[in-house]
Amino acid sequence: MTSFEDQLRQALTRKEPPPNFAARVMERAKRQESVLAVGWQWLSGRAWTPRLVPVMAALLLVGGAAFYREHQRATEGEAAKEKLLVAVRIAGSKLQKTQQQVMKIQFGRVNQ
Amino acid sequence: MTWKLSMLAIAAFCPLLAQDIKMPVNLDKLAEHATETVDVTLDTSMLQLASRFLSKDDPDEAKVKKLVSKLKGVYVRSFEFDKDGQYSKSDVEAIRSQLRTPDWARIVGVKSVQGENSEVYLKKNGDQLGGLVVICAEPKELTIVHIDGPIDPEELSELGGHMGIPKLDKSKPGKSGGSKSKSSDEDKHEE
Repeated sequence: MTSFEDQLRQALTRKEPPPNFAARVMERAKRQESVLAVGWQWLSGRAWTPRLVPVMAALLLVGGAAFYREHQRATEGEAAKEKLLVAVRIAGSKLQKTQQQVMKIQFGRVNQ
Repeated sequence: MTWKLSMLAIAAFCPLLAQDIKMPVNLDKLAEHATETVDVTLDTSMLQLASRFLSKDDPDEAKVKKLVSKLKGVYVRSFEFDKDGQYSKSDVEAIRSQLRTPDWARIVGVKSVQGENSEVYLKKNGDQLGGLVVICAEPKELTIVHIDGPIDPEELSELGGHMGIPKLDKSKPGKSGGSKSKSSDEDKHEE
C-alpha cells in the first residue's frame, strides 16, 4: 500500500464530532437571531419612528407632485413652442406672398 | 359709491380692451369643411412659456425669441379646402369690420383675378406699431394671422429662407399667380 492510499484512507475515516459540537452550533444560531431582533426592537421602539412614516410619505408626495408639475410644464412649453413656430412660419410666408404680389404689380407697371 | 361702480365697470371692460381683435366664432365652423386646419392661440403667458423653450444657440429660434419677446399674443386661423366656395365673404368681413377703427390702418390690399386676395393691417400705437393682421383669402384657402403687440413686419419677413418660410428674391417678382393682378389703394398707401 502506497503512502498516498494511506493518507486517503485516513482522511476518509469517520470521525466523531467533539461532545459539545451541536450545542455550540445552536448557541451561535441563537446569538445571530438575537442581534437582528435587538436591531428591530431598537428601531420600532423609538418614539419618532411611527411619526417618520407620514413625514416620509408627505415628502415623497411633494417630491412626486413637483416632478410631475415640472414634467407637465415642460410638455406644455414644448407644445407652445411648436405652435409659435407654426404661427411664425405661416405669418412670415403670408407676408412674403403679399410682398411678392405687390412687387409683381409694381414690376408690371414699370414694364408698361 | 358712483366712483366705485365706475372702477368696477372699468375693471370688467379691461380684458375686452386688451384683446381688441377677436377671432369670429363662425371661423371655427369652417374647420368642419376644411381638409387642413391650423388653430394657434397663444396669449402673453403662453408666449412667455414658449419663449423659454426656444434655444439661444439655434439662430432661427433665437430670431423668433427676439421677435416675440414684447408680444402680447399670436393668433392664427388657417383653413385649406379641397374645393372652392367653402367660406363666404361674411366670414372674412367679421374680421375686417373689427379693423375699421382709427387705430388700425390697411397698408396693403392686393386683389387678383384668380381670387387670391391679401390684406395687411397695422395697428398704430404712438410712434410704434402695436399689432399686425394679415388676411389671405384664396379660393381654396383662408388664413388670418393676428399678432398683438409691437412688431416689425420687416423682422418677420427677414425670416424668409429660414424655418420653411420661402425666401423672397427682391430683384424680380415671383412666377406664381396671375400677372393681371390689381392692387387696391384703399387706405394710406400700398406698401
